[in-house]
Amino acid sequence: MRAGNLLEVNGLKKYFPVQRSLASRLFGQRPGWLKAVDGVDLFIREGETLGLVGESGSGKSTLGRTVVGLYEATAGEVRFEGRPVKELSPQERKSFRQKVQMIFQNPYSSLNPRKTVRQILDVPLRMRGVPGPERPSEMEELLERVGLSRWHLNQYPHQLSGGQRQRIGIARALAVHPRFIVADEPVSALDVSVQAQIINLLMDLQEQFRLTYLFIAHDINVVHHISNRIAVMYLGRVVEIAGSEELLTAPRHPYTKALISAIPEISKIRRRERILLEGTIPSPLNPPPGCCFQTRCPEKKDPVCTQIVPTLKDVGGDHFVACHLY
Amino acid sequence: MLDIKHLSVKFKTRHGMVRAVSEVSLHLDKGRILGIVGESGSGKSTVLNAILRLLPEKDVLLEGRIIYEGTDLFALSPQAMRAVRGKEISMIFQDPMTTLNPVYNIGNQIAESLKIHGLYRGRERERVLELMQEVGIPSPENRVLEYPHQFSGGMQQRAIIAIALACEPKLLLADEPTTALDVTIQAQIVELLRKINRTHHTSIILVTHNLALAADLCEEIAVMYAGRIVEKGPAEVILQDPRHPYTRGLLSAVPLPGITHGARLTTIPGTVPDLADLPPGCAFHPRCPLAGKECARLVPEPVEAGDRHVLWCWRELN
Amino acid sequence: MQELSTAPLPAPPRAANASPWKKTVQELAAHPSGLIGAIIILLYLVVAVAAPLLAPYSPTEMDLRARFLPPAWAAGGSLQHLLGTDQLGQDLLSRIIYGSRVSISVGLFSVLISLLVGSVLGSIAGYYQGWFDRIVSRVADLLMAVPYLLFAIFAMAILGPGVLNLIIALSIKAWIEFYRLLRGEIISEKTKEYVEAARMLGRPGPVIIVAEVLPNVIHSLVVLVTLRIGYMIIMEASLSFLGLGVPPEVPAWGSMIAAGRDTLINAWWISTLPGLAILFLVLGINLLGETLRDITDPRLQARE
Repeated sequence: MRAGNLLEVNGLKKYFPVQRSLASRLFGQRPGWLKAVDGVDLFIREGETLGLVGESGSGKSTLGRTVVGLYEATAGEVRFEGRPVKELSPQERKSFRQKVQMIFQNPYSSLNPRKTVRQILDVPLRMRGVPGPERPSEMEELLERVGLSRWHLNQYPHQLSGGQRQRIGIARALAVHPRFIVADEPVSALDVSVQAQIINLLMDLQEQFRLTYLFIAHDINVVHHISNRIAVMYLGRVVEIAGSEELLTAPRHPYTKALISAIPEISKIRRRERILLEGTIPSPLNPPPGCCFQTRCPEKKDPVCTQIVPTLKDVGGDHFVACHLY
Repeated sequence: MLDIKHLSVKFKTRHGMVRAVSEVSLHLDKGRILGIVGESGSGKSTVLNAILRLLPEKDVLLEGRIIYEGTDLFALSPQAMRAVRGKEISMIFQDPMTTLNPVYNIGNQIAESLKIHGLYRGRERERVLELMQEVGIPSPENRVLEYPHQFSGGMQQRAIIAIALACEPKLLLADEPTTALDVTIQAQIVELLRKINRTHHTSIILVTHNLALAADLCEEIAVMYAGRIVEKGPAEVILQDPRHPYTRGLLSAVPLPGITHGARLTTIPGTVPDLADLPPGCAFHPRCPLAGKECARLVPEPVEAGDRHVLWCWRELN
Repeated sequence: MQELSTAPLPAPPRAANASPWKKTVQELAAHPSGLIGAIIILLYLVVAVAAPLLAPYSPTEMDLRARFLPPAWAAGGSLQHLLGTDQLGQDLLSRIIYGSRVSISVGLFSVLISLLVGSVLGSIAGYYQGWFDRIVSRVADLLMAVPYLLFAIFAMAILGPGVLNLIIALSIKAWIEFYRLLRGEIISEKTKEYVEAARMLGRPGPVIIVAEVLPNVIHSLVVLVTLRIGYMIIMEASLSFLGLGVPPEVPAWGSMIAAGRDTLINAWWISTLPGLAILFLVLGINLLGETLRDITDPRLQARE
């Protein structure tokens, strides 16, 4: 593990078993695997934000949940602060639980509808070992940090707006003093004007608490805004990682190029040449052989692309691409 | 071809009347594309539903008029209205998964509106295949008998567009047609809508929360906030020289590659108001950086800001 | 455009700050049928608890001189026996009052036991799934395949009559409903992000079930409990009718109906009045249960 890396992911795989009906099992069909994450290598430096973009079905959410330990990895390892998470003692695991937190996509289901804000924030404070009498003042401070105030404490989630709920979700994650936060599409369910508030908040908090983020989203503009580096996922694999500016201005992977050209732009004048991809992302139940993108790639080269899985290659300047063209 | 005049929509609820749309006037010429942009609760989808009279009549009070090619849609009998739906004006909804009926095959669903309106009698099948070809569903002969779950999200949305186009409508209403789709698929659908507009001169009203998307496709844009239009004009003008504080706020809240990277985004403070509990005067004034006394008292009057560019704001008067 | 502060405006405090439970009580008051149901149930409960105070006679006191007395309002009736007497000269009013104790206790306790067993098994099966879920679910499927009454008759034949045995016999199968409800609810709730958030904070599984998930499913449990109590009361009456319920000397509505069925033409009241007692109690329970379902169904609430 290199110095300065807070988190490393090596060859991480997460497969979900697919239930087949009893009848088809009787006829000898073996249970299938949904290969949500299929061999990912990543590292995240202390204090940086790594953006993770991809379309639905690319496995970006699964990757995030496997990294924080909500899902158990099928293969590969996650190293946090230099140590494999798998090898942590129960005591260390408890502290890992608090150092690593998650902010969820849906502000409607991420808060327990039957609990008041006070009850929601009480849990993490208790888990961190804050004694009862100190919790009210800690709660107030937390709420203030996320731009809410004391009298939200007695409210239920349904009495709050989407943006306010997302702030509570952020406060809950902050309450255990984490070092690393996985934000899974934290703004995609919010209105545009509220999105910007939450993005600013996340950036402010990062500065104040020296947090490290894995920021997952499908909106490249948002990811680009907040991230130092961006990883692009396709069908369970990372196809390209580069610095934010570099990725947007000089994408190498044909998929990244298409993805970036597909974003509608505000100014009509500097319209890029749009690369329209054919078809849709293949099913992770039955991924194509060779390069995962070969079925839609406009620059496909037979037979190498259809037979050999490309690995991430350093193309210079902290830029990695998994493509046979380079 | 379509003239919406002073449209207001009020819903009866347990908490009294709620105004979802107030005093909306819009005009659309043949073959043009109009975008209605707004956040949730802005009333943008309600306008579309009002055009087709899809709102439950007993719970809704409609005011104003909608003139389509000389006829007042609100004055039509339910039977006459049914003849308009699908044939003259048709609609594409946001979520392809819930729009298609899972128990009928795609071909049947596309053919259904042909049967309802008695068009292409005896050659429905050819028409269905032709439509599938047109919206870009590959090998239609094989896929016509497939069911919605065998289609991907993008293909489902294409099938829905095929249904909407079946009777060659003159006006297509698209309610967030790409929101449920991935970016690369979104681009495909936008290109398809553009192609339909060019080849058939079908007028389109696109409702979306995504300003950039509207800018990409539309010639004119109306921005709605809390049930009212706050600014409308040619797309380039709205995007490059917005005059209403809300439009400006909305534009600057979107991260732009190369411009805002790493910096703080300009935000609009607060949240979208509850329609049941709207602030008096200009509904945007509690969040508006320019708000003054008159903004809290009176609803703004329209102001001409340029060629075909109108806004509803007291502060931009000067 | 100038830079705006990111701090959101303080939202106005909203008036409705009542807890979901208080809201339920308020809603109940607004639904007359549910309120009527609740009042009926309350009346029955008072009668059952205060039976010795309310009953004019002992329920087993026989007066062979006053057999087949019709109710007071019918020809030949007397004010001494308001609801008349049966073929042994026992006071029907007193027997019906005491009979409520059997019905209500069997209904209540069989459901409470089933609730406890079913919820614990259902929570574990739903949250952890795996082998435990597979085994318990198969057992539940097996039991479901046997008709309820047949099963209860069989169980009572083995256990012998008695209130406790009735409760046991009914509970052996009744837990399945609760098990299924809870298992399903927990499977659907546990994928929600608030449960994942609780896991992220390091809360153990049982705590998550009890503290996070249960409060969200308790409403559907309450509805099921109410409706099942009504069903259990009918089951108890059926078993008593067949002579498989409580011992003959204990007054129970079901056995009272059975006792009067030979003289239904000449002395209709002996069967009919206990039947009406069952009818109104179960009606009250169903009225309340259905109202609870209506006001707690989120799909109905969403229409607001």
